[in-house]
Amino acid sequence: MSAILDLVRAGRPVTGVLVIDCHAHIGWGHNMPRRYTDAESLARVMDRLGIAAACISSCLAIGPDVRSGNDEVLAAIDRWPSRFIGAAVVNPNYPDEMVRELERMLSCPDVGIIKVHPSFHAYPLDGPGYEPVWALAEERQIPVLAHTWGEGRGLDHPFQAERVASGHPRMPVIIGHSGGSVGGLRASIAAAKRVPNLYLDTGTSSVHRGAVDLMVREVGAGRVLFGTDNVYTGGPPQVAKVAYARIGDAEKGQILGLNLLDLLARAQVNLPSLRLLQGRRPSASGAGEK
Amino acid sequence: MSGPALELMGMIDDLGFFDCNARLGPVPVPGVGGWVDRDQLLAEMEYFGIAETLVVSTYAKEHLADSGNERLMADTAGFPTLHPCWVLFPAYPGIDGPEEDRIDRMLARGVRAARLYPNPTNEILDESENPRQYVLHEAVVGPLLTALAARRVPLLLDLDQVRWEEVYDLCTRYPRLPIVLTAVHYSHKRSLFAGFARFPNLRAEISGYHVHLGLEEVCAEFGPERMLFGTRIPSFTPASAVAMVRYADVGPEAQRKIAGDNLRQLLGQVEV
Repeated sequence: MSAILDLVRAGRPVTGVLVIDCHAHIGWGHNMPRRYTDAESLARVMDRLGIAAACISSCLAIGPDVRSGNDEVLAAIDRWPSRFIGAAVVNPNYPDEMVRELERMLSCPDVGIIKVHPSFHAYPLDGPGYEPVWALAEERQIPVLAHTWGEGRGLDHPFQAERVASGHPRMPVIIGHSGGSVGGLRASIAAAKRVPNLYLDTGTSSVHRGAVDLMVREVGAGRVLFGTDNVYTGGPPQVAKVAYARIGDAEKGQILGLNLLDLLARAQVNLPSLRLLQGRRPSASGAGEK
Repeated sequence: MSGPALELMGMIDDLGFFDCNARLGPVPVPGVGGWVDRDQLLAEMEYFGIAETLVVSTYAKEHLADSGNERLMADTAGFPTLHPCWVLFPAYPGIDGPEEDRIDRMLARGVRAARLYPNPTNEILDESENPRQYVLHEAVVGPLLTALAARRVPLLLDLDQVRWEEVYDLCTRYPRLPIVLTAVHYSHKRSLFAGFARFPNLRAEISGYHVHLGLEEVCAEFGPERMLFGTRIPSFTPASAVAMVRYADVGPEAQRKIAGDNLRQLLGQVEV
């Protein structure tokens, strides 16, 4: 019996557990066709699914214009207080601006994680240009969400995330999409088994059957984080992947929000929303406060 | 079981999910969850609340179509919730008989849908590396598609098998032939919507259609009749497509159409 699964089977918002999305976006890019890309539509779908908050980065920022994109995120946080946690995007191809932009973002309320996209920025995840970012994140224990995909293009392989994480043991590194493809997922799991500060992101449009079950079996529910990749993809499949996994509701609760909540609580960032989210943490009896 | 739990359980089957995209049998490159046999497929259908499934044999797709189709018939016989979908190839000169006779035999066996796999052992359409066995040109597939169109047999095509130009050409040449595109990706939206706007016989399956508010958009623009529920099991988890429909803000009637009634209508209008 799973109360979470019963709700998802019925198409109802997930209640009784805290749901925080570690991987979402606003805006759109690459001229890919989309009608809905704004924070309001994202919040609407979050309500439908029972997602309390989402870490968002801007599609513009992971594309050509980091600062303008990061500003879009700040505006969304301002417009929708407590629903969004900002993911500060950095681009190592602009080394003179990178740390200054990161510090600017981290000085703003409710910016809580760092997002890197080695593929779109065409810079290897384990390249030296990211080192100033890793140093800051290591010192302040700020989670880093790193896009990864596939069997490797020299930029964003899960083993490159492993090299970064192993060199910075206090910095939580979230393997974005957990590598995406079947090979990428297997590599992500292998890396996470070797390096304890690596975390697996469930958010990907490659919805492999049994993926969440495999993640939990291999690395434990404590290092799996719920992500959607909204608005690139749709939210319902991502919630359902966790809800339908053949694991216990306690493990689902860890994945859906508690693990990320713990990471955010350890990070030295300015998160006014953290207390609100902690207040929605389910009690030991399992009753949520939604 | 409590009252609220019973209420939730009662909602599980109300949409009548009918999966149009499932494969049975061993695969050469297993995904995370491996492959499924008949009993495993039935168990997955029960777990995910799927009432019926249109199923293809991997053996037929990747090895030998005729014997794979026969295996599929044996596997599904006596299981009314499993509906066989045959893999067809254009008739081979001197070996296969007239296309009309082949389709007659297929329909006489109770089969109501077909698939073509011009690229049967590859999952990426890259003809510079992997030439297809045939192209969807009139010279090659004309007689077969004419026979299918005459009986209005739904034709399912994976988008890693065909080109959009071919899809448009088939829709134009065979307006009586229902064409269901499977493995549609969000990057295909411009081509898909152009096809929906021009061709009433074009439909798409949702397993790869991971679009934020995507079903809401298609229903508003083209109506709910154009999208069909499909899971892509054994590769993908059915959880994904089930939730797409279940959470779509399109109203219960549209949900039921996408979940299963669109496919039921297509199979029901085959002229036996």
